[in-house]
Amino acid sequence: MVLAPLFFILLGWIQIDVVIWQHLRDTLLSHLLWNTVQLVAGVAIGVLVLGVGLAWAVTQWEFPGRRFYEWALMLPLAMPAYVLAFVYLGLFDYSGPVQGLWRNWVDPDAQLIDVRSTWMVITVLVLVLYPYVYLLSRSAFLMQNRAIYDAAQLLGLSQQQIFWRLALPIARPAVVAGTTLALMETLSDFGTVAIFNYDTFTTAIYKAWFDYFSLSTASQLASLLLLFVLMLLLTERYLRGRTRYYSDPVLHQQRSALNRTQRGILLLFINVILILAFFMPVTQLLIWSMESAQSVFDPSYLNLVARTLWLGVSAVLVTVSAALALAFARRYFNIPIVNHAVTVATLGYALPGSVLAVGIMFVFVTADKISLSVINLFTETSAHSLFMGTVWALLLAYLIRFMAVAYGPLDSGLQKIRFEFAEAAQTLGASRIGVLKEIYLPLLRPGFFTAATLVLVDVMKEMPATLLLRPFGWDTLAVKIYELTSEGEWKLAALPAITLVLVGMIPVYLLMQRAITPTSLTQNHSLSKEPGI
Amino acid sequence: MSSLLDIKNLSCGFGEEVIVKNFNLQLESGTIGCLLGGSGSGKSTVLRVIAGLHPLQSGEIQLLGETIGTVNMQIPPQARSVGMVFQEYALFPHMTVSENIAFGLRHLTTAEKQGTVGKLLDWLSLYELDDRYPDELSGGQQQRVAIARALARKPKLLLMDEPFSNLDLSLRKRLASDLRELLVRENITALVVTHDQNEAFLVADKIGILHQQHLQQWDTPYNLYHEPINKYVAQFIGQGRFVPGKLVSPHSVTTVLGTIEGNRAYPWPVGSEVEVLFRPDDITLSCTATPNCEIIKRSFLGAEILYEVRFTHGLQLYSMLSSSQEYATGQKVEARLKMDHLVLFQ
Repeated sequence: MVLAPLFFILLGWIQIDVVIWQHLRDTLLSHLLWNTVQLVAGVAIGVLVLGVGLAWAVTQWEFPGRRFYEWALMLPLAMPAYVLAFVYLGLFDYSGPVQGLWRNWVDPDAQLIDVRSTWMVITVLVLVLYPYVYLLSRSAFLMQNRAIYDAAQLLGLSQQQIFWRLALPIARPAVVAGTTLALMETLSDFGTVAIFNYDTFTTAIYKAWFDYFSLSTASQLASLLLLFVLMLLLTERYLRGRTRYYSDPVLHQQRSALNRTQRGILLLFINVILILAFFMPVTQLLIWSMESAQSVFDPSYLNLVARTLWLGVSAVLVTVSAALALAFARRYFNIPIVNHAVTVATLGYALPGSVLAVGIMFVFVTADKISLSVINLFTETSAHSLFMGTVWALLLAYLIRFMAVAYGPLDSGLQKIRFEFAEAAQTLGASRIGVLKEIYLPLLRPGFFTAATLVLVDVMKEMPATLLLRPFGWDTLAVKIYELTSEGEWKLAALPAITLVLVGMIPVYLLMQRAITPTSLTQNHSLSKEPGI
Repeated sequence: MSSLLDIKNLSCGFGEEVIVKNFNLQLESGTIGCLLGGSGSGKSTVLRVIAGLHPLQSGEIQLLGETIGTVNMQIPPQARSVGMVFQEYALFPHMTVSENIAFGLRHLTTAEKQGTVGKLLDWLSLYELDDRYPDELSGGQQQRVAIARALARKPKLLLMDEPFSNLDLSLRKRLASDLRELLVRENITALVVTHDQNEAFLVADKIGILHQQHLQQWDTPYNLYHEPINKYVAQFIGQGRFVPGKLVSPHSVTTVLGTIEGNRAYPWPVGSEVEVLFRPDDITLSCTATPNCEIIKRSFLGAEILYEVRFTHGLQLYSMLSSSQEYATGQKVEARLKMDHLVLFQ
């Protein structure tokens, strides 16, 4: 199922829409490539500096409120990038309050910042994506054996040298994995770049479909994007080398104290990051929501929430049961073909939503053609679509894209259930169904809960695939945000956005509970759901 | 009296690989058997085959004269009257002690369940622990819960896979004899698997030694020690050294230590080359005017001391003596043979 859309995307090259393609190549392609390269490079540097730096700070130094900041720094994970993007746009745009104030009070002719610049896009993405690097580096640093540092100190290394020559190289696999995750999100991001009018492959794919109605052009663009993803994954594999996660857990490590100035600078920095990435946008969203509540909060809004939930719950049912079947298949038939199948099935997470959507469109359009030609042979009906534009396309997209999200917690839950439990139950007279009902299902409950929550939240936040595949009139909160923000209605978008941020806090909370014990962190599904990481 | 468990010509393994073959064993009702072997000897696999958790490759298993497993016909584990205590116990982590014990009693009414569970809790002194969860129990308590859970269904046969493996050393000895006491008192037939011969001696009436795919010997602990069937068993059980000798009559053999008379006849022709087993308790040491060997090593074992001595002709043997007699390393002593029977191998 994962492979079919991929196959069709590549097939798209057979049928080249010459006119559009030439137009694209002449005007857009180099522009798209340059934009993407800039974006990837900028985000990579940003998340590395922020993520590794903050992780080092909270693991090595003791300062007031360290425990609070240690988890608060994960909060931006709850913020969909496109939400932060439109808040920034609303705040800092030429007509927005910040620049307005500046003009009123300081200089009536000044343009303080150009919000629709590359820098702004990169800043927004870095602020939202650095937690990936932060989380993985933090756990890597926590797991490093303190005795290595002591040994290095006795061998004459300074604190700085210890970081560059020991801590960072040892943590490299984790740092690389976190950065790769952040860059995958960057490549597949649609909402942020759309809001900033920054052209990348995802926006081009969207335009190719909605403006030109050219599926083949969309698929060619999708395959180019896929190339980027592939390059990224290969780079990750190369950079990680043969090193494995280094786990030598020494939990009681001593953090060194800082003097007053150092403490002040560090706290200022952390607070600025937190305010910029989380507290300020949330406050702004709350203010906007209050202002617009009367006009937004009506039956149609409830209807929208209900639709989103309905879609989310259906996707949970489909995805979690498929993931459960996979996990059991792997447990009981631990043979290469099953293992490979599982790997492929969980690969969908690496597919950007827009690429996946284009692939599924291709599959469904073809299926439509074939089945309709069969049906039309026998009947006189003039149906023109059986599959395309149905909710099934969307559910399939969610299934493929979020399979790994559901599989991770279920599989790790299942692995904790020893085979002997089932065997013991059998020797005590339980039938196969009895074993499933009385042993597996109750023991898997936490895994189920995590899997369902993560899929639900991810589906609610998902934007590009939903936008491309949704049946007519099937808006979700994320789609609504896109529509409102593309018309500049920041205030109206605030309520759905704050809803999504609140919903997004749930997985962050789950993550934080797990992060209490650093050893379990690397096994965490939502960080290792990426194949090859 | 017919056997409770009768295993005929059993072979088992994984896929094509054979781990155990030609395995024959009879376990009488009310006795405790023990399979002893190193890791990978297949002892746990045999147990799982008897429980119905693992397929067999050939042979037949009968319980109380009824066939429960052949290659073509395998009664599923839930339909065999066999209870099993798993290595590390496999207590269900989401159920309390009482719920664990009651798990196999689904066919009973609530009142009947409570009666059975209460009796078992009493038997195994688990009464105050009934609503605890497994992770709140010590290793020894977990073991007792696992035994109670397996016994709740009144199985004809109780299987135990390394029941002491995750207990600390000091507990093992005590629990092993406690376990034997319990099984004997309740007249339970059990087959225990272990890699530790001390545990086997403490628990079992009969011990089987598994080595290189075969059940080498199935016998009482006494016979395993004093009448080992082959050199492997002789070496595996207790300490001992082999000394070359020549058969001078069916009952006697001559070695560098002199001629030794045994109590049974060996079928080999007079004059054959043989090897004689010397156990540490076959040799006594004393301080005399005519020493014939020197103490080269000693290990203090509490009530006893194990000495290693070297004779003037170079032969080295063990001697186990009561602690009340003590010799120093390097001391010259006289060794005397004190053998009431002779164990020879060709």
